[in-house]
Amino acid sequence: MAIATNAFSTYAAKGIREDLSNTIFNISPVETPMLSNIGKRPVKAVQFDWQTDSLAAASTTNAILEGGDSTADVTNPTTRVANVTQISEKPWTITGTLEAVDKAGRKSEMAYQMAKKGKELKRDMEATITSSQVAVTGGSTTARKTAAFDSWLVTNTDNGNGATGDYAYTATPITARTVATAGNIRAFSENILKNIIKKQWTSGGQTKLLMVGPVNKQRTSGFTGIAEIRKDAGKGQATIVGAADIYVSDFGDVEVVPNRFMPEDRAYLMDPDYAKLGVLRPFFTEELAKSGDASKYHILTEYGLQVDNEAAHAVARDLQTT
Amino acid sequence: MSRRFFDYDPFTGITEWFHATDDGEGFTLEATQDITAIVDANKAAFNEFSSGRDSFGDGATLNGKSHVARIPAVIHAKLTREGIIRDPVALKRWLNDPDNAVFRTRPGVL
Repeated sequence: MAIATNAFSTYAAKGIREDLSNTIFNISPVETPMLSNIGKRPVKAVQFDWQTDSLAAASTTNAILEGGDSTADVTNPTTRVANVTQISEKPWTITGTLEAVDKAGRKSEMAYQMAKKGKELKRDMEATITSSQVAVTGGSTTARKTAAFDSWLVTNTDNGNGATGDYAYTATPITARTVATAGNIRAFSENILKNIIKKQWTSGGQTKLLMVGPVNKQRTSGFTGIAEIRKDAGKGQATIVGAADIYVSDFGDVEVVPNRFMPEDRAYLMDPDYAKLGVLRPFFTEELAKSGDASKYHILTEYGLQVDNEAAHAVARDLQTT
Repeated sequence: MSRRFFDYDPFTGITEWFHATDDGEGFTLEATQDITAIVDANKAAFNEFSSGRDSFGDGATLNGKSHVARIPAVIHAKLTREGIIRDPVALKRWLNDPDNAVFRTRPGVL
């Protein structure tokens, strides 16, 4: 989309930014489990930074002499990481005739379109932040893109091709990952799941949410034992995918939730406490410059993903999608 | 209030309806989900467990965690919004509530 040349615009932003933003966030929360589960934080620039830190490994040789002198250990500085924001919008148009025929109908149509476009925009955001997208700083001819969830995860992974072609970064993921070759694509199995749960736990994270696409949600239900439960479900099997499974233990609860918009070839183990949506501009609608017998509107937001500590999460990639 | 079809999601079986307020400026979204299959599956699992055919260690577990409930997506979203899902004590209280027994896949107090 090009910027209009010499545009003399009549932007009429509605004065309901915060309310609208909350309204949109509340629309269809089922479809966007990632957005519904992670927190939000306001950001003030197109590039926003945060810091990560880790403790030294526990030592079993920490014994010193009585009266011994101290020599300072090396202190590692914190790691500063950053992401950029991305602007997403959904425009729509209402014709002059509809504006004229029935004022109540027109108001209702506006509300309907706002809800509809708001929902579509939210779905776009969900698909974006759960994708493999890497950060693009952007410029006058390239749109800015925020680094998505997958691109941050480098510590706790189970890939079909091991570490080959994996994401690598120091501050912001900008280099895309190479997907495993066909021969290295695996079916999601309990062993893969156990492996990433273990890695996440070893890194100090805690499994709270397993997010999978429809195919792997069904496959998870087929893991040992769980399949037993399903055998009586009969033709309702597919419908059951639209439910969240709750597992409990003394060490915490895990939910398995389906996500229709995330890539099917992946399973995310998330700790929602360690991810946030950075919001530079909350959802807002405004009327755009009129250029014919119709009124143009758009709903827009500017946001970026903050993965507080990538080691708190885990991912299994290169999974079969059918 | 006028009702208008908003969206249908074949994946979750959720239908959404759009209700405009009388002044036309506000709206409410109503989401309905057919939970028959989920409740039936839960009941089957629950009974199977009660009858001892599905022993505790034999399955229905995820890396040592026991499958205790299957909650329809619309109700799960409500629990998420109310903060119950992220609060282990509140979640257990909700799961132990007899009113929510249809969502349980095994008996017992958590």
